[in-house]
Amino acid sequence: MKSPSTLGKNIERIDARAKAEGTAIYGADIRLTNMLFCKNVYSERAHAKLLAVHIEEAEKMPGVVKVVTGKDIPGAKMFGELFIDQYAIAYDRVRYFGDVIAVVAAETQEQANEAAKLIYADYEDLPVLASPKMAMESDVAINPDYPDNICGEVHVNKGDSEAALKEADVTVKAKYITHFVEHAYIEPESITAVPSPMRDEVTVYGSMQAPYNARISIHRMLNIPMSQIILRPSSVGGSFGGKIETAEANAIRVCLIALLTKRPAQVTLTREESIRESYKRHPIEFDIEIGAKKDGTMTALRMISFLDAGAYTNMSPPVAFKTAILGVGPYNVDNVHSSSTAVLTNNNHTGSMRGFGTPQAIYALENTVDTLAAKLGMTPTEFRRKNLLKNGDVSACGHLMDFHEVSIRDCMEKAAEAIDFDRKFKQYKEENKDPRRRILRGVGISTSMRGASVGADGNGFDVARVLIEILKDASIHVNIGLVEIGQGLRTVQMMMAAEGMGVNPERVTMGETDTSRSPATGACIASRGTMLGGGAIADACRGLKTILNQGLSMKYGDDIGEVTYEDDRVRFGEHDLSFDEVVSIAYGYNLTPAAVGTYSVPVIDWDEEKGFGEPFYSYTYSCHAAEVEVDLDTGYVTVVKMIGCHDPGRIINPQFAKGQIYGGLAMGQGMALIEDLGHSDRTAALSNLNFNNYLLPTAMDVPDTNMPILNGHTDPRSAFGGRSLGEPATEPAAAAITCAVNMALGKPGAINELPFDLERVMEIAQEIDKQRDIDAASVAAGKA
Amino acid sequence: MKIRNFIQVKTVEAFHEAVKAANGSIAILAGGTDVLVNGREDDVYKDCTVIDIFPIEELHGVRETENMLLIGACTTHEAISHDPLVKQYAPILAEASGAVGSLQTRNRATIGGNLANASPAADTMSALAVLHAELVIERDGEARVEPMTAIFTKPYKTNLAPNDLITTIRVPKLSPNVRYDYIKVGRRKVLSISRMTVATLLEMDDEGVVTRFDMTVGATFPRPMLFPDISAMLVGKRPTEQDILDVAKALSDKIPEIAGIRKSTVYKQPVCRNISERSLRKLCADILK
Repeated sequence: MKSPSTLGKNIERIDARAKAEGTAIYGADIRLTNMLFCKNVYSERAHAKLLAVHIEEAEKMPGVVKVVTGKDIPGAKMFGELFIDQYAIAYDRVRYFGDVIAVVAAETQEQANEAAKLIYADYEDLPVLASPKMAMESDVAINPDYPDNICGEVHVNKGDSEAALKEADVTVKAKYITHFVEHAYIEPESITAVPSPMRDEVTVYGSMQAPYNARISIHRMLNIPMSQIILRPSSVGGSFGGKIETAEANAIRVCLIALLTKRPAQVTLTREESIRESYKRHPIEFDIEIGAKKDGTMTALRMISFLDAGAYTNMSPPVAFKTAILGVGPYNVDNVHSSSTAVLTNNNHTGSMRGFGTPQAIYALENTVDTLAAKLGMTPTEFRRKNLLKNGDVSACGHLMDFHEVSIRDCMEKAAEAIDFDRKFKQYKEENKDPRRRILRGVGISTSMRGASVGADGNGFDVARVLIEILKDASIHVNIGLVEIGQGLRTVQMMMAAEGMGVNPERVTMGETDTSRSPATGACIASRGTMLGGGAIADACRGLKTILNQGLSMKYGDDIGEVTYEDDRVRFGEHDLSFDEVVSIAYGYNLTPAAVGTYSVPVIDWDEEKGFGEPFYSYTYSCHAAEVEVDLDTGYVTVVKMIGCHDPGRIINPQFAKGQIYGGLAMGQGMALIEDLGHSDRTAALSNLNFNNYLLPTAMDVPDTNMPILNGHTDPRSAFGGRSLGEPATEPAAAAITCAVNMALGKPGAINELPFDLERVMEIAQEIDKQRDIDAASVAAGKA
Repeated sequence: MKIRNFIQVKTVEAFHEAVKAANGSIAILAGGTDVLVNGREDDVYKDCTVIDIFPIEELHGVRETENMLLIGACTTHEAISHDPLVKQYAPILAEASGAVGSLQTRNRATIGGNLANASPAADTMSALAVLHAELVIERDGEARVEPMTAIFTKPYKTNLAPNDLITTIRVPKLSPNVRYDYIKVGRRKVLSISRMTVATLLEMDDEGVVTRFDMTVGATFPRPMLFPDISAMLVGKRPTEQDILDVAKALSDKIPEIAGIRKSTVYKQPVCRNISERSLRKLCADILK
């Protein structure tokens, strides 16, 4: 990249205008002639044998065209991205309240809704296993493939953590608990299936994050060739990992109806249905123990975690992989044991959600680290300065960090400086001792290193593909299946393609994702879109240049030497041609300037058995800092300011990067403080099914002063130097806030269950008040 | 949302006629912020004639008599929170109205609707209680006046008949000497259902002796309440720190006494005590020095 680059510029999003002006088409905007409206009928049990589903009354209702049950699915009865164990329509058992037992299709939505009310089922109740503990103790297997209800186990081992803990001068042992969290995308799932009048073919529109995965499932369950299943995701109104399996289940249902009725069919979930059916962030229970020498050197770390997988395996094993491996943090520690176990229950299944099992672990780890630091008489930054990784260290999982800039220390210093951490920590600690003070102030800091993309868990199949074609007008058209889900990826891909071809970005046009045009690619998940998509785009650009060079050779002779593509010019030898000329030369010789690009992450050396080695190909470094006020009178926590400092490799578009960080901070704030689905650990039901009860931080709650800091270092392991930011942006946020609250309360690690709502904080506040009374009494007694 | 019939009326007379003409149940829609939400949840209004009273002009706005503010029942919370008369003579109500939901909600939600919906968490209830507000209720053209606290029977239930219409909220004007404080505790800054509100009015003479004291807790009891025994604790006294502690304790002890011991009591009782202390200390700051 020698010349002034497109990369690093705040290029306007190519979808900004359509989205701002309201012309972008989202799933539920679609209206087609003759289209049927569908309504899902949900299970009334969390766990039961499904003996019969009664649809007869519904079928007789006005406007009803079709009612389907699980029996109508012609092919495989289940789907799944990695583990095939999920019903699109339950047929023999129901495993959670979000299972669908029938779907009604009618001329109008109102008619479908009315008819759906008449459908009921006969159930034979099974014990409801509403927590991992219950599920592990029970003889009842939710899924016969997993007789002990355990669907995933991952571990990390380095050195001898048990011995090291015994030898440590100071140790801390703690328990942390996290809860279900909703993605809360603003757009509930909406999917439309349109059958072809010509053949057994269906085109699917709507809110989808992983269209190629859906294609496989529709193919397996509905018995039509993959080539005749065309997925064209609409503009997606937020996803955060959430528009995968739930969208897929709904796609399968409407495709079934479309194929049976030969009519377009649409399903749009209400918010209540969306929350009822969709998967969540994993609740995780952590038992954690860390040890250090007197001088503050961290010597041992043990983290045992149990994840609630819910009713389906979904992404739980890979989530457990990230919890176990990234949960041990960016520390240089010699003795590590980390194990994560995912347990099936009758709760909502849990799967991909921004962070993928790590925001929970970082929250547990960083609060424990603060507790240990306090015990050692060190501040949070002093302890981290001593123990964070640097270039050439071996990570807690055994990865020798000698292949890029390990910038975690720098990230921490920048975040700490931006919030004035060291000064405030001292000042607030002193101030908070004043017994008359009712508003306590605190600062917290947390760090993480995030593996880019899927990691060793996906060794060998972590791939992305793209098709780029240069047209006769010398425009460059990119068809790629890594979808725009609001993060700005489509524009970033455009910028990378321009960079790859050395042309002005105006030349590059981006197709909407269409599985019939773009080659199959791994999904837009795991914060891999920029790095993996970039790799594929770079590969395609190399291919295109080879074709264009071939044209040049045909015209100018074989010995044209090295050809450079930059500044929208093509230069070789004495020649300096415009890009347009070079394209017309290629077309003049009847060449085809189109290329498929492929990038797959090199196989990495991770020993799954031992739990040691290189779990990821590269990492993003992150540090969040938070300042809070805690009201001892009410338990109310005010987030005053947050800093998010990240090194996601080279920053492709600073404005988008900042956007990711602003959003990530807000998401962490909600997770830490107020978001609560009201899960019952007796019935497995969720009580907060809409945003009147499921509270998100509003624009008034998220501080205006939140500040992203971009600390990018170009990564030699990425084609365009950029890595991951989507998930890192939220990963350490809840940890920073909870560390700050615990610091304000003067009790590191005190509140160890999320969310830190009014009631939980108030409990600790009352303890503080009691202690203050006791102290006051003893002072008084002393005086007497 | 399913309804039997929808009628919009522009006068109170037209409302009475619509009530008479309606066959079956009636639902009154003022701003709609409750009706539309309830109607979406389930078919609760499917047999109802929904009468939209928002267009009745005479029910909008704030007027005054010598001693009273007369607030039209369809005046929105946003209008009340900015109304010059309310800000002058009942500023605690302006503040409580401004604490409701979000700007969007406040631009539709009405004070009459807030009362008739009878949610125990309604933000304005505690303020109206300490102001000794009264309601003008019309039935078939006959008006009667009732204390605001008298219409509530239990959460979300009033003793209003289907043909009763709250037309006016009468609020005795406060003298400029009356100090007030309104605290709302919610889970977030806006769009938040009150976890608790505490409303306080305090008037003292030149010597710092309390001549009027009304303090209550909202979002805690099944209906808005006033406590003469709490008022009596300060009236006639020059408040001391100990008095403040005593009042706060007495008020918070009402919670288990009236609402019974519930899961929420563990939170609400100490918080009530804390914020009552905070409120009273603020109001008596000059006296306590």
